[in-house]
Amino acid sequence: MKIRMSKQIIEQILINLQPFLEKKDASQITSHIYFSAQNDKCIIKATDMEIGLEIVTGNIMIDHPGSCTVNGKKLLDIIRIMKDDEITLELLENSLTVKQKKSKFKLPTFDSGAFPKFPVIDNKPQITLDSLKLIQSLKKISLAIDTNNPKYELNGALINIRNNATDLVGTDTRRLAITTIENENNTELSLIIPKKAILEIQKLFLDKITIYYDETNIIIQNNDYYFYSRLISGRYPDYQRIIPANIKHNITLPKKEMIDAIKMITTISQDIKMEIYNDRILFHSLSSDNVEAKTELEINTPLENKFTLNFNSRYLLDFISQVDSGTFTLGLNEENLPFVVKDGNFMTIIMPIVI
Amino acid sequence: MFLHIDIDSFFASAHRAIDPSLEDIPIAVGGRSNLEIFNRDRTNIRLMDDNSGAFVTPVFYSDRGKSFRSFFVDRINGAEKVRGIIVTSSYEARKFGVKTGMPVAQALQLCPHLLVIPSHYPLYHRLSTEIREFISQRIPSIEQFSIDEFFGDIGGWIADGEAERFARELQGDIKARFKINVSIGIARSKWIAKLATDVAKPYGVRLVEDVAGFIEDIPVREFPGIGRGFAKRLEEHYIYRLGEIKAHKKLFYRWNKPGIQLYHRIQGSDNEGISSRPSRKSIGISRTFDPITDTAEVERRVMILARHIVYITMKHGLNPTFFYLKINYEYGIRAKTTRHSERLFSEQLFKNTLLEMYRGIARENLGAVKLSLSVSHFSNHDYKTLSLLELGNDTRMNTITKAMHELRGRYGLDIIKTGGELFARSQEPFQLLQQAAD
Repeated sequence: MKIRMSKQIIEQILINLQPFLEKKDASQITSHIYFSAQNDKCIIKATDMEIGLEIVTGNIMIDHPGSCTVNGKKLLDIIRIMKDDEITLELLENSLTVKQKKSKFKLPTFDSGAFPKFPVIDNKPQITLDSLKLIQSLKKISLAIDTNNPKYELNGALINIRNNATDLVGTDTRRLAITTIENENNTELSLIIPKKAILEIQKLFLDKITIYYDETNIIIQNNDYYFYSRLISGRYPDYQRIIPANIKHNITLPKKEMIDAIKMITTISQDIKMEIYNDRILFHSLSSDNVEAKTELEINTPLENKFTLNFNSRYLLDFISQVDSGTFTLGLNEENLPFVVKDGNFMTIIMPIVI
Repeated sequence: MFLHIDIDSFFASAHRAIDPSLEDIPIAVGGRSNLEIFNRDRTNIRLMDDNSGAFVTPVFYSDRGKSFRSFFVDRINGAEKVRGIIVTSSYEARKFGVKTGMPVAQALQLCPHLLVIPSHYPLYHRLSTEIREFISQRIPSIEQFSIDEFFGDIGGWIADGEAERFARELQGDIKARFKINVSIGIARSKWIAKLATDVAKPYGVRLVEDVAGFIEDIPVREFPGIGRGFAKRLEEHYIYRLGEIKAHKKLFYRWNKPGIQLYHRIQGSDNEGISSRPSRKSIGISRTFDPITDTAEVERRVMILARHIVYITMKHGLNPTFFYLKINYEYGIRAKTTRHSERLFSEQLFKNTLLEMYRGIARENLGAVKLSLSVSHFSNHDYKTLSLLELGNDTRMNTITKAMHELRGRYGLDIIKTGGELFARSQEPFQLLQQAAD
């Protein structure tokens, strides 16, 4: 195999593939990137067996067809150090040489036939959703998804396709975020997609995509990329039970003023106490040290009596950061019970700190 | 100036205060691991916890009177054996070599006419509370440090030059009012005052003005907070006396926060004030008993201790998020485990979690001799957000526990037990029926 390309092209491809590599153990073939050059097209892919990405490009000159694997991180380091000029990759006696003018690097390769196979589309069913809307909605709930939870299903987002709507859900047990997309579906289906896959999807796909799935994998494809991720098997918590059926008080709050007030308090403590009165909201720091922060927002609320909320500000800020409009709704029931924040079809249910 | 007020041989003094015939003779108070909470019959156990100073442990007691024989003497295979350990002794007894922590049997050998009185915690708690109230009327800022120790800050209240006279007056007033001897240490910092009290005992007052001169020759072990392990570590650096520590500032700073704190406490430069309302950081309970190899019986005891923890915790309106379980086995073998549980607390949640924890570390064919349980990281103190997902069920269990505690508050802690506490799981129902028939 011998291929030539500009530094920019190969560097961008390698950067996109980095998150898919096995990083800890360089003796594994999954720490390698797979190259295959055939018929004017070059296929480059990486996978850690959980998620994988394949990039097909015509921007690479093929002198001799062939295939090989090479450590993905090492190769990127080398490419980065090279000048903005043409680079040649050539497979010579089981080693890959990387050349540019008078500089030359040599890297070991593994048997390219042993590189893990990606799941194929075959006759897999397609998800017929507005893919752009899906990706935007996933982004909104992705901050609420847990990491390293021993209950694996919580380390992913639930896509619950129902007859008349699709719910996307993320939770870390202390708050639960949901976006609902209204649409008509023929099939009812729920999938749990790992958080890591969701983060990569957001980086890679900005336009029209096609989504395929089976019991174990989800595949997303567009003109440039072929992406797959293992699904998380498990039973997602019954999130509908957690959404309060009724809300006693609904208050409309301005997004910018709320962020300013909360950020002021968070210089002192992440946990805050919010006292809501009829004509104002008082913000306090919740801190056991002898430090204190206080600020106030003048606003009319439908509350006749004082209502106190203690909570971790991160949960509210995460929600507000995904609010599109200038205002959002705060829904309250009892002081020590979960409260709801809502913007259109996106909402988060937050557990307060019980004091 | 800070005062440290320490009651001389408190438990022994307490008995003298209510029974003058005990004056001037060698007496000691003996304790036994309080095992009646494991009884299967009802003993009407109540919680003694009015006095919630930071180091005052809650005590569970039944209000039955006890005699020496019924309390200390066990009959094993026809032979009588004296059990229990000395909790405290009067100064008359100490002359014979009787010490705290010594087996009662050994103390009686050293001092055959020693009068050993069974410990009676309700009396000590009552007296301790009364003395605290009395002192707090004389000193505005006090901290109860343990059941028989108090710190007082008299800065801005009594002039420095008057401190010693004030302390002697207070000492006399407490003696007149309670017939209780206290010793008082006075210094510009809390911990030096505490150290001074040790020198003042018995029934003395000691004012320390020159800290460096005072601590010069005192062995490091005497300082509050330096235990056997730490003293050994200091010995490795050839430090034996408190006076030698000043030159080793760098060494202590290497041990980070605890080392830095200790260094300043010893130099009297800690600037620590009185914490008049110390908040509880954890609630624990432990029991020592003769070796038990039956894991089902140990499990039953874990469940009983769990009920007691839940009761104190919920009585204080706390929601712990961290559980700890330790089992001591024979031959110094230990097993311990911890668990985070950021959920609404209830008896069912705690018992179920503990059961999992116990089964994860339990050792077969090895006699368990001690169980220790504790809960900490309270949600209202460490500001933990509890789980939203299990809230519905947890709230129901929490409500049930609260209802049970209303009954327990009225009729004793053992009015309601759960199944796991009544019989060891290994026993077959048939056997139980038979036992009942017998």
